[in-house]
Amino acid sequence: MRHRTIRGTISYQTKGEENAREWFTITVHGTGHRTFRAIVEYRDTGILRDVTHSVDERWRPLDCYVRQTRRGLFEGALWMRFTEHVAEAEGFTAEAGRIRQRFATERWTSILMNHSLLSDFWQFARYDFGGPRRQEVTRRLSTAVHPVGDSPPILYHATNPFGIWPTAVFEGAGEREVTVAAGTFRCRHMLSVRRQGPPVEFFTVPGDFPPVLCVADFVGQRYELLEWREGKP
Amino acid sequence: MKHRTVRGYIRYATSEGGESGREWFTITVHGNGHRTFRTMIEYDQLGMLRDVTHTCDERFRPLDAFVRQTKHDRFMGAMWFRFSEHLAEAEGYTAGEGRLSQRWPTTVWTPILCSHSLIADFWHAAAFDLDGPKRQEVRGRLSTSEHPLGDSGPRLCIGLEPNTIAETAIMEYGGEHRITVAAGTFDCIRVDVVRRQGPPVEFYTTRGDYLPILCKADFVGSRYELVELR
Repeated sequence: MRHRTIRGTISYQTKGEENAREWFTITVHGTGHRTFRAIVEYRDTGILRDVTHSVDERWRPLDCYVRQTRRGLFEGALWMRFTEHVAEAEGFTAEAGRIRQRFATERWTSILMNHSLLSDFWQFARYDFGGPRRQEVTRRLSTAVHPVGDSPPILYHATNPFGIWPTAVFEGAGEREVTVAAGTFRCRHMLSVRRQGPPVEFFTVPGDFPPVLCVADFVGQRYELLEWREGKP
Repeated sequence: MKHRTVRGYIRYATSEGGESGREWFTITVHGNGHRTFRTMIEYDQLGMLRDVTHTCDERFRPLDAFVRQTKHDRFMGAMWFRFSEHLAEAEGYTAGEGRLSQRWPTTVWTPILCSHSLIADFWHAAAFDLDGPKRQEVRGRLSTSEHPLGDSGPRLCIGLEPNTIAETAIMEYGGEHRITVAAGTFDCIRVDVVRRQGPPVEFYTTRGDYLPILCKADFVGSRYELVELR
């Protein structure tokens, strides 16, 4: 097979205690397209989320599938597709029944937040590392109203009640060597700026954008890469 | 989390013993009896990479599925499927056909979805009544591809003869066997999927979870063996 495969695990921690875990497999294709499959398990909310997300060589979303259960009960399943002029979704949720969404877009959706930590990190592939320190990326969509996806999957394009906006504001904060369970990485320190309060901090490496470390101090959350390995298991 | 998780790895082998593909899977079994598997399949011969997320109810009847596949690194298609008592539907996009919407009225809930993952092949055996006759027919099976290895689509379809993927699955009980594979030794039942002509495809699986221990399709020299189970 021509593609390159990366597997890994992320620990979600609240005040030092693990409250969720994400397992992922990324494939990087000869065309530059990438797909990740992630399974996210939250112990606190009882949510189990499956995400299969593909991007093109510019990291723009191509298609995505999100399926979610809460404490063993189905919440919803949604398939999404993106082109230059449309963002669409087809699915079914326990709450709303059969869903069909079609948003006309002037340009390709630049970021799809699908409530896997990997997709949070992939946002920084849209940041121009040769450009100004603070940058805005417009046309961001989300697959849930809730900031950590604690609501059924739906294609969501408005500012949500928790301050995640359709325009992302990112800021570069230099380079740092970061050591986590998966190893030591020479990282870019990136900030996702919120409208109010401190930013969310991300530590990643341009190229594959491994989810090395994410810190959201204002809610006591920390996300740390436990494992990152290339090739067959 | 209330669910139980099983992870594993299946090796696809040729009669010469070479590896022709592989499948990594994670199955979750939920409190209400529903099960989801996610699997990633690599077929070396076809240059195909397939992702399947497939959920069934407590009777192993399909609830929904998602299939996405690339061939030689190029997008082939992505399709979401949903099943209910009176409907089988699919929404997706393929490189060959563009945007697809399929809605098929059904008289009963689709009993089996062949999603072209080996796990789904083994889950066929869950539709076989172990207290019933030795040979049984299950009608209304649907598939996500017309090709026996899934080398088309994905789309909702009825498989084409003479493949084993016909609308009616014919299965035959082959007794109890103790099977040793790389992942360990398992007490299995053998359930054969009967083909219209030639020898059947043999499936050795566990009762209850229908784990993919061993599958033999001698007529094409293929063998599928569980290498790892956690």
